Amino acid sequence: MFDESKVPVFLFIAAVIVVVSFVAHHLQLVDEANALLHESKHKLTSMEETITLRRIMLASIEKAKAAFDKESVRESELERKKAELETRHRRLEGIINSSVESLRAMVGKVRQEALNTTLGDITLKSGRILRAAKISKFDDSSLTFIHADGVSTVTTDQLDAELVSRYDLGESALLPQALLIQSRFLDPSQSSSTQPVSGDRAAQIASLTARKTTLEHQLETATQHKSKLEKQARDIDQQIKSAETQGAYTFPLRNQRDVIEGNVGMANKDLQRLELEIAKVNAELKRLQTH
Amino acid sequence: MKTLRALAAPLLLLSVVSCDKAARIRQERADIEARIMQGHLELRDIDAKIAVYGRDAELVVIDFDQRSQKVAARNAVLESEVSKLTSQCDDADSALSKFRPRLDAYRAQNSH
Repeated sequence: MFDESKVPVFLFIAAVIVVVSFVAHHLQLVDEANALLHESKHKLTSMEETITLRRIMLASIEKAKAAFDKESVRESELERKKAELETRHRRLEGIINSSVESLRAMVGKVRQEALNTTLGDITLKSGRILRAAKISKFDDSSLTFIHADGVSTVTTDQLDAELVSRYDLGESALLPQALLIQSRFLDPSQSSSTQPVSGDRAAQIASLTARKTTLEHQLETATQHKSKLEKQARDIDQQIKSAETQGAYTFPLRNQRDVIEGNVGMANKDLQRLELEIAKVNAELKRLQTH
Repeated sequence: MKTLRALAAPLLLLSVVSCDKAARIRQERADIEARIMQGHLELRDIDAKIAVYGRDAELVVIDFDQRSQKVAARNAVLESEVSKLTSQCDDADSALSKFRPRLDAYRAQNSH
């Protein structure tokens, strides 16, 4: 019944079946492992994308917060500066007011004491001599004397420099200048006015000359300020370009640039106003000098 | 017997190779899973940082931008005020520095 010669054949077939089953089993294992690996890889990719997005979002928040913090620090700095300047302003106001009041009192006292006091003989620049002269009246541009020959009103340009200085007269008189400084300081809007405090032509010229110097100084400061702002705008443009290249968030930078551009516009207007003011003062000076 | 030995050798080789490949794939997957876990921790960390500012990150950015804009506008006004005050004080200082010596000289001349 059983043919022993067929045993190797059976064994061979059995071995082949075992090998095939084994191979199939292992291939299945590898396939399953590959499928799980693929799934994990997919999860990892998705996770990395999520992390990248959240990182970008966090970076945007931190950047926006940094911009806000920067503006807040600037605000504190400006508030501090403003408080310091207000203190300085009050101190200057005190100095100017007390200077003006003490000068006004002193000039008033000197003039009051001089009224009806015999000054002796006074020689005018024209060579005329007023004998036993007494001052009877002070005006912005003249003095009225009572003297041996009668009453004379003399313009300040005919008077001796010592008298002009003592009674604070003429174009270099201190009180009109002090009042001008005071009025400009207390009401800066008056700075734009070319109308000087004194009605005297010489004093007007002195006031306008002083005003011109002040305006020229302001023009220089304003030009420097404008250049500084323009440089800031250029720097921010550079920052925006580099941020755009990196694909970063540029809104706060653009916002900052807009503010600076606004300030440049204001600085430009300020410059134009100052140039116009200087032109007006020059015209007024020319008119007064040729009058 | 010769036949069986001849079959055993490739069977053994195949077994070793297959086991090794499956093990390698499982190891790779374990590494990836470890990275995923690490990613989860990082994500939690980032979310915690975002949560400090608010729930909606985009709204937080918009809110900061709007607040920055308001402060920037206030700063522009402050800057202008500071600039005006500086100019006013500098002008007054400059005028006083020229005026004061003359005032002192006048006081000295007339204080008797």
